[in-house]
Amino acid sequence: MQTSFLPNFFSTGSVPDIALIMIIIWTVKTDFNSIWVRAIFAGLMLDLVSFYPIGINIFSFITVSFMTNSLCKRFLVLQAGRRFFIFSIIIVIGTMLNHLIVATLSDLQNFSWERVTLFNGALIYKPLYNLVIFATLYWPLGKIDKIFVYKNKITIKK
Amino acid sequence: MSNKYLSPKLIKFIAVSAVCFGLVFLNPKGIFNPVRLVFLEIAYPFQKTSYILGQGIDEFFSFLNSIGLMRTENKKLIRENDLLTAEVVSLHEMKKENESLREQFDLAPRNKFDLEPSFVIGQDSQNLGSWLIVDKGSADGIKSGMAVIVSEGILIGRVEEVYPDSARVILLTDSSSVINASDLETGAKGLLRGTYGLGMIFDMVTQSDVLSEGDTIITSGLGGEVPKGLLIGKIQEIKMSTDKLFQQAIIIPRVKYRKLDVVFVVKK
Repeated sequence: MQTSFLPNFFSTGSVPDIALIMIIIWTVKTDFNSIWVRAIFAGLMLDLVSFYPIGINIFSFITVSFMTNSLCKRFLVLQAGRRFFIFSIIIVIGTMLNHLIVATLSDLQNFSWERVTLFNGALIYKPLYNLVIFATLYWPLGKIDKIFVYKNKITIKK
Repeated sequence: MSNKYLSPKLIKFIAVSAVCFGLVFLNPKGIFNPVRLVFLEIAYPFQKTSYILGQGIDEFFSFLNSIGLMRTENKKLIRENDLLTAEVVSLHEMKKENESLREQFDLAPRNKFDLEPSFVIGQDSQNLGSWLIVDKGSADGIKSGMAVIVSEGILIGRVEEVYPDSARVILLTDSSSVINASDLETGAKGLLRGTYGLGMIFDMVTQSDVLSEGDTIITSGLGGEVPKGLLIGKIQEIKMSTDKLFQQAIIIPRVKYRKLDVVFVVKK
């Protein structure tokens, strides 16, 4: 979806990171220990389909998930009333961190160092688009997770 | 004390990071290609369907958006139609002139190539749109290094990796893309390099050569991989290289890479 469907609607380089947003949402809803395997799997899928060296997106997703978990622990517990604001900040930081990690590692892997890859228009638009995707996915993902938890409970009872 | 800092989370994070760094930097290139090949084979039908679906939706919304403009556009088109009818006559003359110029400059005629029409089924989503995936691969005779054009004979890139049913095309704007090119008007020769998905630079042009803004840049055919005479774009700005030894020119591509749906692979 990220490499085939969405590029039709967004300018090059600013396509929203659906996989990243899903990882952030799952981390926010549970914790790092519960989703680190999903982060590895999602990163591997994206590395394969995006023709990046295997490991770049895995490392990026694991780092963003770890960071999200640390920030959630500190801020969401203390300031439950400002959840949306804190979520937005996490999305913006996560998007930038992901962009910087992917750009830096792919540059270093190619033995080059070009700041133009790091600081481009994508850094302005991507966080905005990702915020929209976050707002769109947050509720449906929660519902899907609840359905799976409910089904698991029924299975265990049987 | 050490247990406080080395929580299971941190240990997992460090372990996964270390493995990732090992994979990225120590792994020889291509070792995961068989895995990627299997994955792409599985993902191919989904990619193709979702790309075509995305384009359909995009076109539908573009159509809805354009309905309001149609009335005024219709009046404008009627006026333009009258003008164009008059222009057709003069274009016949220009066609003759064009054919004669093509002969003079030894440009490749469009029907000279063995073209393989292909649908675009994927694009680079993470960085700056530096590659495309097309739905034709080695099963259709596609090979690495083949030139990729759009219908009007405009070069957009080269095939980089080939899989049985798909191929990855590196666009001219990608940083790894280097192609021999020349100025159609003055004959100045140089290298066309991509600039990290942001555009193209016509580089390594000697000081004695003449470049002018608005000049057309075409492939020079040197190196043999890309045919001679394929259109690339026009010169937007001319400047000196940082070492002041060569001239450089910023090139505006003739096509918008994001809007591509059908491309042609030049087989020979």
